[in-house]
Amino acid sequence: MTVQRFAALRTPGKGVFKGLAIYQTAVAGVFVLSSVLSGKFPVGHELLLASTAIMLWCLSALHPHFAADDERWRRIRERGMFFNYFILLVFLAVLLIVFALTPLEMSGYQTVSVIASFLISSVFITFVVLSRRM
Amino acid sequence: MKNYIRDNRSERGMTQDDLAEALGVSRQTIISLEKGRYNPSLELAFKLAAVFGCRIEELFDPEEE
Repeated sequence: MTVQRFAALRTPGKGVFKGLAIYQTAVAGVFVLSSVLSGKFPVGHELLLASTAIMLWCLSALHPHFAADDERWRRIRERGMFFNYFILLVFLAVLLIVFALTPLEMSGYQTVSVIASFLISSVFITFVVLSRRM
Repeated sequence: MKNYIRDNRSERGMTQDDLAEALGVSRQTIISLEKGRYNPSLELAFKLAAVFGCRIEELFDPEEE
């Protein structure tokens, strides 16, 4: 048995990721709905839960690509991280402008949660886009 | 870069799964290679040539898109 096949055996199946994604979407939905209805959106943690749900949906879509852990998947990861560096720079620039020019106020926890959620989502969405194009 | 992976695979009666298994890559990688969306590393190109029993130059054409 080759190393790649052994690695593929240890990777959970696509169904596992899809099941976790459905569960996480339901949990994130409840948290987002409760924070919106209570007028406290974004509290912070609900964004992280939502971004984790996005991550799991992306992983279920990416499963056939990363299960073999071959050179194409490694290239997708490299290029994805490279593109995300610039995407994050643009996002931070926009966030700085928004904070400077608008009366929007967020706590440190909220700001870090927004940035972390954006980063988690954008990294995995970029992987999905690249896996379709490469 | 144009390649003749699909032609070689068909000639030998191999499926994409067979070729992926022989090369230790995913089937998606074979699909991308055959569509010309992904250029393999030198190592994978040598493996392809070894599987098909031909030279790398017979599999890839750098002149054509």
